[in-house]
Amino acid sequence: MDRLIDRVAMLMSMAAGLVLCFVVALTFYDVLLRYLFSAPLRGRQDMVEMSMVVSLMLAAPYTWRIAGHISVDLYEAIPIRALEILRQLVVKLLVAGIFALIAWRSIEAAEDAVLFGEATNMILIPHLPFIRLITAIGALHALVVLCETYSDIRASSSGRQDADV
Amino acid sequence: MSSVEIGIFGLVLLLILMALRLPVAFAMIVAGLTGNTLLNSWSAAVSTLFTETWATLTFVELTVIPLFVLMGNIASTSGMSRDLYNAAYAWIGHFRGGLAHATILGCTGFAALSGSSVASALTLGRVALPEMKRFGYDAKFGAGAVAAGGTLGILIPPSTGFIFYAILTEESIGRLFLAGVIPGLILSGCFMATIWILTLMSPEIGPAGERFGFADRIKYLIRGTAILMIIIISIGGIYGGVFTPVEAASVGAVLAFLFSLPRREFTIRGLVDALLRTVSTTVMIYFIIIGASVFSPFLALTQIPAQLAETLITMALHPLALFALVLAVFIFLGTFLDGFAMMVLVLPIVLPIIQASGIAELLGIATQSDLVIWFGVIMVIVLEMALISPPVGMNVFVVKSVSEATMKEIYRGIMPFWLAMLVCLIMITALPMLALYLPGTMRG
Repeated sequence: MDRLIDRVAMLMSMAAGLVLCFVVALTFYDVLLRYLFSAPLRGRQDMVEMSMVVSLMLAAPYTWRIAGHISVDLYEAIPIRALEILRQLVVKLLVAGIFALIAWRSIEAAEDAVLFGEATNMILIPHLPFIRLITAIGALHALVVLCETYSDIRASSSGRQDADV
Repeated sequence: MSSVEIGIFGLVLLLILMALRLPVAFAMIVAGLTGNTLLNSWSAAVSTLFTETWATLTFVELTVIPLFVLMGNIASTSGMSRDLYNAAYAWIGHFRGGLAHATILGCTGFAALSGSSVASALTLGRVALPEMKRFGYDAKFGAGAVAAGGTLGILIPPSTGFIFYAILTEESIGRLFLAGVIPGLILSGCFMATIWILTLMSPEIGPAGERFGFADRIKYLIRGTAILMIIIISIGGIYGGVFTPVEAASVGAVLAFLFSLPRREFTIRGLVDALLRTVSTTVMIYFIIIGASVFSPFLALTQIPAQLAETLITMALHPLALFALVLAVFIFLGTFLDGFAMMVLVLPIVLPIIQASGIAELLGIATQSDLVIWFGVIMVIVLEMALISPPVGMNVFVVKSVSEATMKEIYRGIMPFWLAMLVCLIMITALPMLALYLPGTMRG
């Protein structure tokens, strides 16, 4: 299970990297067009905005999996095992909760986007597909963290059984 | 509960969550959500969470972060950073402490390609520390030089520290970048002076390296010119008003890629690795910004920053005493808090105090915008000090991963460089023009 999650997260992150390459190329191309032909690329900013949504959301689960978020590492683990397990449980449930909330609120935001026809300013790229992406990956991220939590609980209970034996 | 009590509750909750090792970004989100719920309502708080997430993800100016990070990662992966070190080594490696001097110069150059101190320390540490070992350098002296030199990454532009500060204070990223140039070079000079003094007092800690012939020196210098070109075009482009910071970052990333192509060290695997590191760093920084966007408005609503500022002002402390107090708090917090977290937590409270303290008039800083920029430089130098302060010195952990010295030895080796930073901090405080001259002459 863990290996599958890691593989999917890695593939998503590679896709995020490709989207980032697109952002680099697009911005560079715009600079060239502006200085060589005095004709900047129309809607470059809109495309960059939406590309960043895609890139960041795709890379979010990978960043979590490699422990890429900064935390205050004052200690490695709480010496009392039960407390350390509880700490990890609280941390993971809070993170899962945050992404679940983002996913949930983005469903309501998607309804608003449809209702008001929300789109980017210049070339009117509709927001809806990108909000849907946030919903999907937000939910996926929450699920990944919950799966980790389940694995941790199973591992800790089997560890306790081994200790009893 | 009054709004101030709710604010204090939010701050305590944030500290507890961070102590539980919940990542800083998520700790700020949870504390901000809880506080906003108590102040307003649950639906308003959750609505803020999505609104701020969307606003951050689509904030086009922030794109400068991944693009500059990518530029630095490509330069690091392709071995271009080693060229800088080699060029410096060829020219000054044969002097006493020459390898440590070369490390500082290499870090200074690499800092202009990479906004990350950790990347600078790791990249130069891998190259410099084995050489230092070969020539019998004192392990703690070498590790101290690498850890300190690495911190230049967040002072010399492009700097993630300045981008973050610019976002929090709504200042110009370009002006902040330029404000870091002269202080960065001064700090680099302070580090080299420290090395000179240390090796003068104890020559055995940094023996001379090998002497290169003139032809070899020129060869290594020419190899280093690719990096110089990238720096001049991207950072010079911002200064000259040719590019916006986002455009400069994309031009820098493309140039780094093009210059890397003919190099043997640059492989597809290396490129993929650079991309993966870039996107994960970017996600980490963006989520801290989302966390800050949820937490900071809550803190502002509680009136704590305004009331604290008012209390300190009514104490009628001398502006310099107040400033010293603020710096002391920063340095203390920096010993255990991450730099970004510290900025998010403390800046909304401290900036109004600094603005109202009268220090601008005392130091001859003409405008509020200049004051914010000058304070940004001060703040980033303090963040640098935090990066090498025990117990949570990120650069120290990085250097430990590539050094044979113990943590205790590294911290002892760092001490003289930490004092050099303090000297630099005093210089920038006494002479704000050192930070404000270049932004004042910027075009566009």
